Formats: sequence, structure tokens, C-alpha cells
Amino acid sequence: MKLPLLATRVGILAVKLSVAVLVALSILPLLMGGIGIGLEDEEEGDWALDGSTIRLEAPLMVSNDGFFDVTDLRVGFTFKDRDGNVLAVSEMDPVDIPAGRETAIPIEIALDLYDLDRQTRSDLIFNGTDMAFDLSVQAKYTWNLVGMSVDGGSEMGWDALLGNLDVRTDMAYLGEMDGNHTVVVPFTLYANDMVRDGQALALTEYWDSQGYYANITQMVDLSDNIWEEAAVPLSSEAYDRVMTGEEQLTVRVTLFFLDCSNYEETTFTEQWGWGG
Amino acid sequence: MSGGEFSWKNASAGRGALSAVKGALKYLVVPLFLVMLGIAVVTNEDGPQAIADILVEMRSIVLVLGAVLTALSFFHGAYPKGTYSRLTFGLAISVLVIVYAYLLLLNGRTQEVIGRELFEVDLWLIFTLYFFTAIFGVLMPLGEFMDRRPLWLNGTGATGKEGTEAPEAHRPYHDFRLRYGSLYNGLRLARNTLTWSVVLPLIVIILLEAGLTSLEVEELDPLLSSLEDVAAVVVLLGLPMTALAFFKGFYPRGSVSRFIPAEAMVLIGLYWIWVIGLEGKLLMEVEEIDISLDYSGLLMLIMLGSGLWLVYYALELFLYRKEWKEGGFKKDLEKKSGKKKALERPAEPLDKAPQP
Repeated sequence: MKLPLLATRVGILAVKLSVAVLVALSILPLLMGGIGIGLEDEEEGDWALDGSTIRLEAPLMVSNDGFFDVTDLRVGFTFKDRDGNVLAVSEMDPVDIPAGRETAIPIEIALDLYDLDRQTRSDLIFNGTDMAFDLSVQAKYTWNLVGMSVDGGSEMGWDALLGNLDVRTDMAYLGEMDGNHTVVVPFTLYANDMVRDGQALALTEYWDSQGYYANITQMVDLSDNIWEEAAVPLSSEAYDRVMTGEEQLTVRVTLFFLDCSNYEETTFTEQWGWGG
Repeated sequence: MSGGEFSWKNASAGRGALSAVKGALKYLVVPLFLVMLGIAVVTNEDGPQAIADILVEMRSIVLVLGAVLTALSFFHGAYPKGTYSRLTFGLAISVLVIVYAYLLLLNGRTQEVIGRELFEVDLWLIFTLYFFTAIFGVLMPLGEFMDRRPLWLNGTGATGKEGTEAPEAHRPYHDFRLRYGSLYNGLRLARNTLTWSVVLPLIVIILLEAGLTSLEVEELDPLLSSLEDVAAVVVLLGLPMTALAFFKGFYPRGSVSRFIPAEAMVLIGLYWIWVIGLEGKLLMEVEEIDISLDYSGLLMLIMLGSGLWLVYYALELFLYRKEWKEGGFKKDLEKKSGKKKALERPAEPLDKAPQP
């Protein structure tokens, strides 16, 4: 065979052999479980509220015992409400995972509650809701000759940040403050771990069947087992009415948090002639 | 036909022995080794007795037909090309090989046992596919006979009787004259192309489909569906490639008539690789997780390697054309990829050739 033809054949063979070797070296690590991905520590995967942004920071550990670098690794998250509307998209910057190394990739999922419409935000804060959570992982391997993407999704229940608001009229009592009469109405609520150490505004309104109306606002420290008491001022007439006979009273406690509100209203009849 | 061509005086025991060794390896030793290996595995691993039984039956077939084919190979190799004796033994081997493959099906019991013990697979379909390549196997001795007969009769070493042709009067389109072609080379290349680009891929697809279907995994349905599409394209591209391969093999190196089908084959082959490689993308859905693999880069690299054949055939035309012209536009009766072998023992002159 003539030399140029032989050289061409050798070239063809070399390219094909190279591809075969590349394929073998790419597939082997996958078969042997040489490429792994997981959270470093599950404890570090907790959600936190930072201002108005709900944030999850967790170091993702990627081990690459293969022969080639994993390049352009991108991890993206998409949150959707129960109707499929996209609430937030979070995408990390692409990173490279060198061969033979384990690399921690800080992933951050951030959801600014002010980016959501008020109803959705209110649902997230006060009611809890179902959300869809889509995960997308993309990476390249073997000198960018092979690309892989994994897309998965799952439903996730979202617990209310502030919930179980309960106006405890059964525990209400009359009191005095600076020489003025007050009706003290306790209320309880639940605060999710995420918002603990924060504050919410509570507006307590009171009115009776004769048209008397009063309100008071107070800051509520969010912690475990929240028990707050709202001392609503009463006029002498209003005080006399609750002291002398049965009076239909209404108390509404409205919580304000991140520009959203939720209230609990109770109408009750009480005779405080005997004192609180 | 001259009965004298069967005379042992025309034969060469050395060539026959070499051919017998090749035949023995192909029809007896390797099949027997595989069958014995199968029996050993089934026995040692406590495998299904039904499989062991059919393997034992196959062993008998391999022993008998393997021995017969080895003997026929001896005579086929011993007689020179272009003789009726070689043609007869060549045809006998080709036909017997088909019978051999048919007998291994054990009248349907092989398929039945495999279906019962492993997975449902249509062995008749596989046999039918094989049959098409086997037809080429039958035609090849005829092609060889037609190519070599003049050489044998003349006993001169000339590869054609057309006489010399003035190179200056030869135009590129004259390259398509049938007298420049070798039937044997054309049929051989067509058979190889049919085998590698149609039959074997289809057999792999059939086995894959059978295996994957037996798993009864719903997630594999898209893959099975794409395999069916690939099978259709393999046939659609493979048959024109086979036709082109015939002409590529038929015409000699240095001719435009070889260059054009060769280049067309490479181009179709590149598309064939792209299709059979599922266009470099594999999509799977496993428990609501979509996995997508994009290996188009690797596929492109393979296509680049195969695309170099375009350069190869262009070079071949360039490098051999002058030689072919100067040689008087002869048939190319040697193996295309190998060195020129010494011509076989020239036949005796006609007046001496037929031996009683």
C-alpha cells in the first residue's frame, strides 16, 4: 500500500481508537460509582429568613474519581406555586470539579418574598401551601464532549411562617393601666424556626354592641410558644357596660408581617361583674 | 465444463491445507468451542437443562457439518481460481453454510427454549437477515469464476483479454466500462457492507428490543420506540450503501467509477453513524426524573475519523490512476487493501489443461 494511503488509514484508526478509549474512560467511572453528589451535612440545609428573602445555603459535595474534569457544573432550582407559576429561580455559577478531587460547592437558593404577589406571599407566611420544586443539574465531561443533564421535580409542603393565631377570649380579663380601664385579651400564635428572633406587628381591635371601638398595636417578638396580651383601653361607659350586664364584644387581632396581614376575630359575651 | 479440471494435477495440496485450516477454524473449532463453553457454563452454573440439551444437539451438528465444511474447504483451496472444480466446491460450501445455520435453529426449538428460559427473540427473523448475506456468499464463487476464468484459460497472467488501450483516448467516463470490474470484489464488498451496516445492526437492535421488552420497564418505552426508528433508517441507508459498495469493489483503484461510489458511501456512512448513534442524544425518564445525555461531541469525533475516508479515496484515485492507466486499464483482481500477491500457479495451456 502506498505510504499516503497507509498514513490516512493509520490516522483513521488512531481517531477511532482515541474515541474508543475516551468512551471507555468516560463510562468506567460512572459504572464504578466514581462520580458522586450529595449534601455535606444535612443540618446545614436549613432554610433561613434574611430580611425579606428566604434563603437556603448548603454545601453540595461533588466527588470526581474519574479521569476527566467535570466542567460547567450548574445546579438550578425553580420554585413554583401549586398552579405551576414560577415563584423563584435560583441558578448557581458554573463550577469545575477537577478529576480525583472532592469539591464543595456552595449552593444558595434565594426567594425574595417581595418578588411574589401579595396573595402568594400571604399564603407562604400565614397559611402554608404546596409548592413544586424543580431541580436541574447540568455538567460536561470528557473535555466537554459529553454533556449530561438531570431534571427532576417534586412536590413540597410549605408550613406557614406564622400560624395558629388564636384569640384567647376565654382568658380575657379587665385591668387598669395608668388609671384607665383596659380589657386584656391574650392571643397565641406559632412562629416557624425561620422567623424566630424576628418581630411582627399585632393590631388588636375591640368593639361592643353599642358602637364603642378601640384598638392597640404592639410588636410581637417571634419565638417559641408566643403568648401575647393586648391591653385595649376602655372608656368609662364601655367599662360600665361590661361590668353591669352581658355585652356582646368582638375582638380582632390582625398580624402584619412583610406587608401581609392575617386576622383572627372572635365575638363573645362576657360578664365581668366579679372582676378579671 | 471440463471434468479434467477436477484432476488432482491441477490442485495444490499446500493451498488446500491452508484453506482447510481456515475452514476448520471458521466452521468447526470456533463454533465447537462456543458450544462447549455454553455447555460448561450451563452445567457448572446449574443452568436450565433445556439449554444444555439443545447445546448438546448443536454440538453434533457442529461436529458433522464442521468436518464436512473443512474437507470441502481443503478442495476449494486446493484448486486454482477460475476452475470448475473450485467453483463447485465453493458453491457447495456456500450452500452448506446456509444449511448449517438453518440446522442450528433445531426446527424452532432453539427459539422456543431461549424464549422460555431467557427472553423472546425472533431467531427466524435473524436467520432471514443472515440469509441475505449468505446469498452473496453463494454468488461470490460465481463472481470469482467469471473474473478468473480467462486467466485460467489463457494461463498467461494477463488480467483481461481486451488488449491495451490508448491512455490518451481514455476519458474519465470510460472508467465505468464493465470490463474493468471484478465481480468477486464487488460482491465481497457488497456482502461485507450488507453485513456490517444492515444485518449486524439489525440483529443487535432485535436482541436489544427483545432484552429490553422482557424487562417490562415502562421507562424504556421511548428507547424501544427510537430503536424501531433506527432500524428503519438502518435499512433505508444500508441498502443504498450495499449497492454502492458493489460498484466500489467492482471497479479498480484509480478509477473514477470506484471513487464516486466510495465517496458517496462515506457520506451516507457518516449519516448512518449519526442516525445509529441516536443523533448523539439519549433521553430517559426514570421515576419522573428526566436524564438527558448529549454525546454528540464524541459522535462528531467518530464521524471525523470516518470522514477521513473521503481523503483516503481521493488520495487513492490520485495515487493509483497513473499506475492504472500505464498498466493498460486492467481489472483489479487482488485484494484492495492488501499487497499484491503472486499470481496463482498459471494454468496449463488449454491443450494440456484438461486432465482425464
